[in-house]
Amino acid sequence: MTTSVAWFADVLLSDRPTAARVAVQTLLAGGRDPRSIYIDVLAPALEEVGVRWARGQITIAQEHLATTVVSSIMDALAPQLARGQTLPHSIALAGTSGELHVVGLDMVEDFLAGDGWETYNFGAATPAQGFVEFVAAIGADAVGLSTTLTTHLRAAEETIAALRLLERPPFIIVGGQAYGDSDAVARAIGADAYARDARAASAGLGHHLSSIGARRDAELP
Amino acid sequence: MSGSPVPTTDPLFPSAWVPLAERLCEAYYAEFPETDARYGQRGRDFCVHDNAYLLSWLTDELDLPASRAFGRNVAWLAGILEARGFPMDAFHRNLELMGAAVAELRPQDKGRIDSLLASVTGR
Repeated sequence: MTTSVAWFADVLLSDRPTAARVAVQTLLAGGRDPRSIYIDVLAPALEEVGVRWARGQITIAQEHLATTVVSSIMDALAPQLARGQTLPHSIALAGTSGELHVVGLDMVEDFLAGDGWETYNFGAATPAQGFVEFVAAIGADAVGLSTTLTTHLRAAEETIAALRLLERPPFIIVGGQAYGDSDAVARAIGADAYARDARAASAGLGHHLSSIGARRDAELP
Repeated sequence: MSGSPVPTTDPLFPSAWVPLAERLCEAYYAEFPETDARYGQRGRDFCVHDNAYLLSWLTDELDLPASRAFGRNVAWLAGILEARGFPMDAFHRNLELMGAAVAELRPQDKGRIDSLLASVTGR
């Protein structure tokens, strides 16, 4: 953990957590890439907050407050992630059934919306049946599923199995701590790809789109 | 029986394991009766809560070996308990009781269960 991450976690857990917003503005003014702030500051700072709860150093309430402050910072930062393009692709994002942790999912949405995707973020604990029906109705090109607890992987697996039965199955990318940074687990439950964070999701889906384009080019007369 | 609702906010709490978790806690408290004086009813409630997850984690790993989630999850729980002063010897004994219960249910997996438990208890 870098000093800046520990310092930012300290700010989030201080008696003036909103000072974190000012700190982010200062980073931006210094030329820091907003995507780097997500990946290298906000995400690891929240992980550090979780570690401090596990150590008994802070309460669950403090952890929730820190999460809310980070979410509000993301709301302000998200427009600055735009790459100035619109893609003819859509992705439906969801925390799997029962999943209550979705800050990582929200980060993925911000990155992909910035990349130009049409995003539909269903948020926490999304009921599988309605989600799959929506994906079918809009013909989503891709689906992103986030799962934090390993006990929720079965729910992810069931959702993926239902998506595979669609007439036009989407590309399925998964992420979250339940996977233990393992692509093998993602494959074992039927996903096409695993992404460890929003940056990896953005790159992985970009690579997927490139491969689709190359295949289509090859099929043209 | 713990006598209280299991303390959880998890919509997918592995409640199917609660009956076995309750039996494990009876065995655990028989070996460590001093736990009641220290933690009271709340301790018994969390005993059932934690053992339901432990049972789920172990059986999930048996079904999906690639996850390697059992060791990760147990290490995480051990860290939380140790930071709050829970004796690790007692926690390791609880793991052994839990592993033996799963081995009774799935005798074909006993070797793997023993290996997984040894990796987290160091015994």
